[in-house]
Amino acid sequence: MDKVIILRYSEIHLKGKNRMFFENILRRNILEKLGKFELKTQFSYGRYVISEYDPEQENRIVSALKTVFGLFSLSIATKTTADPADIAEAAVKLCSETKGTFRVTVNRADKTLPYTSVELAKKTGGAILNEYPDLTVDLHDPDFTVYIDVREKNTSFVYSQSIPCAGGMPIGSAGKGLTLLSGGIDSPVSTYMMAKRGLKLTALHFWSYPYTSLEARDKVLELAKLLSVYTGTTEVIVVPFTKIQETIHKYAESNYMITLVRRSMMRIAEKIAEKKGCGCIINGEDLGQVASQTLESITVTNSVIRKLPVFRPLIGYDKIDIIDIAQKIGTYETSIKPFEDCCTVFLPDSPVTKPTLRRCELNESKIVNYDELIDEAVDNAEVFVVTEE
Amino acid sequence: MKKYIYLDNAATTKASDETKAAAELYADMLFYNPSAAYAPALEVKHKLMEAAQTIASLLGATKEEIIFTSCATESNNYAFECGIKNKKGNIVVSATEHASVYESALRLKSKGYDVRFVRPDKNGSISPEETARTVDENTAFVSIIHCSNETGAINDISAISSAVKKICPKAVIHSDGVQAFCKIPTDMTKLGVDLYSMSAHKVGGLKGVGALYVRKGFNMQPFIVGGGQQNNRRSGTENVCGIIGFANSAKAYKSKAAQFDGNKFREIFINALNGKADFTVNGNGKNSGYILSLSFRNLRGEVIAHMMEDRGVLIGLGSACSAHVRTNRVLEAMGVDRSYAEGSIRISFCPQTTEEEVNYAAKALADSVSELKEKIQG
Repeated sequence: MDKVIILRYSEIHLKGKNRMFFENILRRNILEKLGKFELKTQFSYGRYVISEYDPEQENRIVSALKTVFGLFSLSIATKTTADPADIAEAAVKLCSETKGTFRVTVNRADKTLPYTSVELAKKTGGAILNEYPDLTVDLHDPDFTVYIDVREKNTSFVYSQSIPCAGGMPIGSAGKGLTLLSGGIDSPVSTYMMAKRGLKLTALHFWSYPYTSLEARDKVLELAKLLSVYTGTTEVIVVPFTKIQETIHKYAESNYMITLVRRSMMRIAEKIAEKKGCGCIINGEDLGQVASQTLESITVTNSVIRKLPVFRPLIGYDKIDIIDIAQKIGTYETSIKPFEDCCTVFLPDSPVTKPTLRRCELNESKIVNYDELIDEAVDNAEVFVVTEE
Repeated sequence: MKKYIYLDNAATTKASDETKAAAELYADMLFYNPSAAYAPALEVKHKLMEAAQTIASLLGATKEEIIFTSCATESNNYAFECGIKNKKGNIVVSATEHASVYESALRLKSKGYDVRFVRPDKNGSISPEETARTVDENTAFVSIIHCSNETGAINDISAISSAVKKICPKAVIHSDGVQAFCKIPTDMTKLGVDLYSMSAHKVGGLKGVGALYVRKGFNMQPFIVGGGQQNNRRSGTENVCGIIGFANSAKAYKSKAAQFDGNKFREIFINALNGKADFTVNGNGKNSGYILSLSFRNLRGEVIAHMMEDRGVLIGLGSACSAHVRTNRVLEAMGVDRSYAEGSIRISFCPQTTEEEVNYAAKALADSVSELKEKIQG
């Protein structure tokens, strides 16, 4: 009897003729994630099995698999023959530390075997009761369920627990996206959420040295590294943003500063997205959270985008819920480190909450060589590649 | 690697030749554990005793009065953990202490101690009179920094000790001498303190080494227990490379410091800025001359420091331990307005700092501030 890990995928099973496309990507991602371990993988319809691994590495393998988008759950199972005696032996072992009520659930793919699912469940349940007379059977609301999955080729898997995985869709299955990463709490969460829907992401950061520090940039790279556990190897593009901010500050009305800065960010983002072959832009905007995230502000920043869709996965979230996700994915502690990002530079005392497109354009028209400044920032961007450790 | 003019010597100093030589010798030829019983180890032990003697002689103390620690933060924590004899008495510290003293005091406060803070004058100095007003006959422990790590302001520890002893003769007196040791007179017989903290890396030594002077006759229980090293006062195998480097380096530093006049350098900076910026000099009373603290109105210290770095000059923002906190506790206590406090920088010298470097840096600072002012204020 060997220990194996059974993997189940999430909504891929809803796919029709193109299911293989998603499965292939998921398999590739699983193999990439497990590349550092010695083990055997077996992929068959709807179910993947990891076997022949070092038992001491089991926890690490499970932890790694829990970060693969597209996997719904996994179970650590005992692999045995289809012989009811062997199955009972495995099931009894599984119940060694249980108390209360239990049931046995059988799934029998091989219909040629000389027993029915109900017969096997009864027989196995009897063996468990013989060994542990304190246990009782409850078919409707058991404390504990023993699952028996009888497969073809004289093989069966016995397990009890389903460990939830990350869910979502395999990274890369939805195409490529450009995510804006500021260093705050929200943008790593929006990045995570869109990666979960299958986007392969490139991150974009606006850096305003000397108004922000080297540590502020390192913080963003650290966040990208933390996220790479989920997103895989990620390119982080750092755009030198100082000149644009200084210029806007010099020519524009001060209460429009943040609005105009964000418009220029979106312009740069679209240019870089096109350059990198990204089909969408993602940001961490959350309606009403700050002055730049009112409906009017979002309208005027969005209006500079010419072609690409802008996804705002956090738009309807409460801050507390965003913090909750940030803590779960492990980015919160880094996000709250006290290095300021470029949004806080030249902060006006009372930023406009209801900007108009006309005033934005009027302010921008005062900036000489605005387009050249945008192009210069795009051309001088630095690229960093972060990978999971 | 890019070469810089380094003017953040209050944060740390470059390791001296004496330090490097000691590190090499005691990591290689004489690497033995000083507690071992064989002859080469005994030789190392003797060298450690010589090092204690060297430090002691720089303090007008005896070698038995020196305990080596892992850093001045440990020395300060040790003083607070084991130096308080009257557990029911009150604790008096200045509002201008380094974080390791300030946080130790706050910890005592959270344990229920009556902790009192002595306010500095506008120059950041703690006066004996103000200290006397804060202590009473039930004061157990007084800790006043000798030279401020933020501003370089010197406190007259000798007069403060006398003032305290007049009111409460049994009060234990500690002083954090990290920025004073080897730079200004630190004769323990005159200062009248029971405990005095020092750090190696501020005087050309390695990071990871500190010392605590404990007055002879003062019963100091160990803070770190174990193998009973240093006469059972501080266990743990001694950092031989660091301690011997510290002693030799401190001796050399003090002899160079005798010829050093940092106030001349402070003047160069102030003259370069006069008329070009709206700024204040913090700690403009009696100053060690090794630190120049400046605050620029409506500018950010962090940005000035970055612009200086781009011009090849490295400066600090205040205590390196709290550089990321926008408000500055010490400057706030001195009454520096917030519009200035946010624009604070700390320039700090060492005896090797040259006039040429200072002239260049002063111009770079004036240029940086002018440029920033123009960009920010339009």
